[in-house]
Amino acid sequence: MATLCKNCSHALVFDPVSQMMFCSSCGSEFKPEEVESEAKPYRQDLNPESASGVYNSNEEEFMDCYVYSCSECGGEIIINGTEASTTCVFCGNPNVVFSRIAKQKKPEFIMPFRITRSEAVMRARDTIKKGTFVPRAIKNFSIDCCRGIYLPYWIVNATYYDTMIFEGTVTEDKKNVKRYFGRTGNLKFKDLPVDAARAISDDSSSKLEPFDLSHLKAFDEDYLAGFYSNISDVTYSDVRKAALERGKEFFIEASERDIDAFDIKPVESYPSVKVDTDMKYAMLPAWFITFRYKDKPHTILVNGDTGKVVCALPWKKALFDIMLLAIAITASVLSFFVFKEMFTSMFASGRDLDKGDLRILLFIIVGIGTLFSTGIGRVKRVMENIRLTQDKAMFNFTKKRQG
Amino acid sequence: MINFFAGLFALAFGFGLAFWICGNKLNKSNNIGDSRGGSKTYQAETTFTSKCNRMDKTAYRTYVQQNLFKYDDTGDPSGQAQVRRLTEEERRKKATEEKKANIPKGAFVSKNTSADSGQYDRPDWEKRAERYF
Repeated sequence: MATLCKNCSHALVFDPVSQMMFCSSCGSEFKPEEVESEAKPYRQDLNPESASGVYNSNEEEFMDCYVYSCSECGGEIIINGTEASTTCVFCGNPNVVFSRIAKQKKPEFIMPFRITRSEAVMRARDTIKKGTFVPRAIKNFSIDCCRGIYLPYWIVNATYYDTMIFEGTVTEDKKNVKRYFGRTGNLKFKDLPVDAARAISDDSSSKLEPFDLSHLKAFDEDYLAGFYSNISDVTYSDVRKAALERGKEFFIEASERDIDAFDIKPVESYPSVKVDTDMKYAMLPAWFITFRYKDKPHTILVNGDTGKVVCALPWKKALFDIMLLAIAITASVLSFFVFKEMFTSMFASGRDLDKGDLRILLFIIVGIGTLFSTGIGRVKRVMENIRLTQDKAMFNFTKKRQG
Repeated sequence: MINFFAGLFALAFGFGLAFWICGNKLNKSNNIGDSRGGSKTYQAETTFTSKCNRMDKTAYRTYVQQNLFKYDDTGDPSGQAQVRRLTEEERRKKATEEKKANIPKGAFVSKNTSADSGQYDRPDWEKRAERYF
């Protein structure tokens, strides 16, 4: 299951810095495509034993778990139904489950890690430290675990077609009226990576984008050594759904640019998508860093290729409230005099409000409404993303691995 | 009275501005990496085949009926099957079926895109072409 050094027979691991297979015992380096595990020919036909069978138990913790033996020390390796590479808890050697990536299931491409573990942690810490509202305990978080995981992706080309109706406001005869706008069209998108691991939500994994697909290499099991990996477990309808959602997003974006109105929102849509069956199966790299804050699990994602950090963090509520109140009071006091002056000139002579006055008042009310809705929208967005960072399923996806 | 209204507007403006500033600052500070590949990343250029502007409700119903089209992408492999790479033979079979399905390719402008009370926006290339004919 592991690829051994030709010079000293120690297990090799992939080094993201040199992009070579590295032997930590004698320091030898080999190109991944030039080394071949001797165990592979007979290991790729081995089927794992079900953990519930081995332990003769129907307990939930053994569901979807399989038992292998480490090729180095013979120790027991327990992995779940979609893991393809792991580390032995007894000897620490990397282990690749060849049978999971053999023949038809074999990915066509892999994007090797370019960001090392320490670099990923450093980038995460540096990014978090810049946050004004991030609590000090999070800025100095102690890592629970940090795992480099190759995630399975289907890279798809698709054609999206839609007939969509938008509602927008336009000015007709000096009045603002609501009108409908129809847009029908199609769009083709190329090389869209669709996350093929059900354990991770698409909302989280899509934020790791964009990946530089020019870094893809022909798949070789040796790239997995020293990292964890999962295989695809999604269905065709999952892929279609993901492509449809992204297509819709792009279509709305293009339509909104094209429509000459304001307050545009889609009201009706008849989408369909055609996904090319010639999809590419690839493994893309990501670092998962977990920590606990106030007893809640948090997972920071770092793109293993570009180093992009993805997470949303709880904020210092007291600082936020003080800042909000300070700005609110200052702005209220200052604007009070402006409004007083304005209203005095409007109502002073006891005249009726003319159209110009009403227009100014309407503008102010709409402006205030926009300020509120944009600000509250931003806070809501942060809260939604905090829920993704605190997702227990993603935390367990990282944590419940050997090694 | 003027003081009351000025105070009310000032409070609303003050809190609105405070929410806007703090919301944006919070988003920048605590919501890290909240973006994904856009249409440019995936070369997703939209081709509009029909447009209709400033319609009322009845006009937009007509517009939808005139332009409704759906890909029939329900064939094999079935939606519930796990994604896998197709064999060469399966790919050839699928390509033949797609050819038969007569799926519109590239840009086309349907002959009748005007809804009852809506106006039909001609594409730019059509307007430009008028100069030459």
